[in-house]
Amino acid sequence: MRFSGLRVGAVLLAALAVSLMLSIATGPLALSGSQSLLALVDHLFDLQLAQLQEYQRAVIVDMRLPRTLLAVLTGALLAQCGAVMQGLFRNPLADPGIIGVSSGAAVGAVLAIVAAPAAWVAWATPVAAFSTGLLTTLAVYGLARTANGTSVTILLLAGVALAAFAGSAIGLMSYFASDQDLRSLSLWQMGSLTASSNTGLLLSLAALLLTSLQFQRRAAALNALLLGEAEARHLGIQVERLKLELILLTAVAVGIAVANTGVIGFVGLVVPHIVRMLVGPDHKRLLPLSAVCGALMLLLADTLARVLVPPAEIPVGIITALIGAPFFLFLLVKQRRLGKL
Amino acid sequence: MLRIENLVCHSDGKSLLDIEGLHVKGGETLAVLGPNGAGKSTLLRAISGDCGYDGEVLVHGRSRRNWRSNYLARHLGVLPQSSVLTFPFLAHEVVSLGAIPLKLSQRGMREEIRRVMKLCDCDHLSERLFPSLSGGEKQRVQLARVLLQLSQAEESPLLLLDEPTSAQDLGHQHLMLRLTNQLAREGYGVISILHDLNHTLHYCKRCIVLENGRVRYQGRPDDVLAPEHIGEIWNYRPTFGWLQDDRLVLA
Repeated sequence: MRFSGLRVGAVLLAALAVSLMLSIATGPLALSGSQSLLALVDHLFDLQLAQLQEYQRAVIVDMRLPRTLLAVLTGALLAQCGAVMQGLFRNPLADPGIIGVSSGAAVGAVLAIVAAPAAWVAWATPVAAFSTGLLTTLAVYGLARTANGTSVTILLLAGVALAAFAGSAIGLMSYFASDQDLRSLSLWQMGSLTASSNTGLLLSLAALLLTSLQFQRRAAALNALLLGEAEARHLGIQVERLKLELILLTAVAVGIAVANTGVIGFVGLVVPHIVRMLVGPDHKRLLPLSAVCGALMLLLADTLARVLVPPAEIPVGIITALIGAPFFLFLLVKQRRLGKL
Repeated sequence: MLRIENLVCHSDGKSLLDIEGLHVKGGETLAVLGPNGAGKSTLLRAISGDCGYDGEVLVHGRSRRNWRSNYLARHLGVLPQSSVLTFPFLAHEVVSLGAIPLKLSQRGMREEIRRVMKLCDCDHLSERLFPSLSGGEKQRVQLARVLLQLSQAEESPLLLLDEPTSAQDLGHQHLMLRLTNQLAREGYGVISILHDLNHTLHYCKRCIVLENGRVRYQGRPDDVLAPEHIGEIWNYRPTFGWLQDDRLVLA
């Protein structure tokens, strides 16, 4: 069953708008939905419509809004990267988390958090995450490629090895961290949207704009790549250059996402699958719709993470893994039945 | 339209292919024959740019290295032996990928897709999921894609087919071969790797027989496929006879 891309897009955007309001209006501090939204309008247009105390206003504008925006941007980045990686690897099980790219980026990020001077951390973290993420992608790609696409087995095993290595490297570095760093590190490792800085938000926005535009320009080429590398070359596509560009762009996006939020797994795996089921595998539709759907998913997961055990909150990476891991197993079983593993 | 000069391909210091010269004109159907490992696929891969080579491969008088890639794509199409596509595209979406190097309006594209799918007898599969098709059906859909890719050629296009009949049933084998002849009449140059010598005899104007990477025989199939040559190359002595219309048949 296929739906038109426009219709699915409209439904997803509407759902995203509703969840945005939900996310702004939800939290341990009970504030009415309409007042919360009015406070936002006030903030945007410099008005005085909402009847809220100053501290209530601050909760909306300074705490909930940045977090909501970070969820939207990160979800869109991760989902789109997942879709691109699955196309690049010609393999529906590729995902920045599963194949170890997020782990690689996390090592760089932690290194920067622990070792970089305090004034540099905001910039050094994403740059370091990008660099190690890029190295990891290149390594995994080099390991797993064969004449007929990429080997699932090597892809997954490389992911296991890299995750283990990253885990121990991060564990080792945590011994050199200060107590304050340590607490934020452990939260960050589980994937959390709490530490949203303005720099982080701006970087995410820039990365999302850049990668969305560049990915969309290469959507037709990605479609051709699904036919096979030789076939894509026969269609006039410069395959080696395309692959390198895609690897660079995904490393930028994953690096910045990981630097901001830690490792949030499975968004890049689950979302493109859902979108493909709805509108088919054409990247011209798959990429933008995955971005919207990823934003929606992560926003909902984060809202859930904030309301499940008030006033505490669960790191959002735990929620996405709880949903994503069974989904991943389901895909594995399906592929095994098709005899592809 | 295609000229090959001193083409040499190596792999790990071993020579895979060594062809002094080969010329294919528009309107010609050339069969590439030879035992397993003779270099047939390597020849196709060299022409389509999938493996490194020394020497020259000239398409319409210009070295293939000097063509703009998407311009070359409009003049040189390759049908692979099998497909690695596992993502759930519909058959007509697969065909539409052939339009990537072209300039086509939405409407023009729909009409072209219908036309080439009819040619390849796969228009009835249009709305089916490509991965669920049989091997032969997939191959015909892929051929339709390649024909779409060549539909805007400004000079006569060159079509390379790697065992186009291997996955087809009897009726479709002959449909594919008749189609190559029809395309040749429209000016296409067609090079096919074939294993069936009767197909070569009945559908191809010319053939070359490769052995250990070199051209052993070339010429009209009637001359080249003499029983003693076949015995030499394939280690098998066929019996033969003639049909009522004087066509040679091997068995």
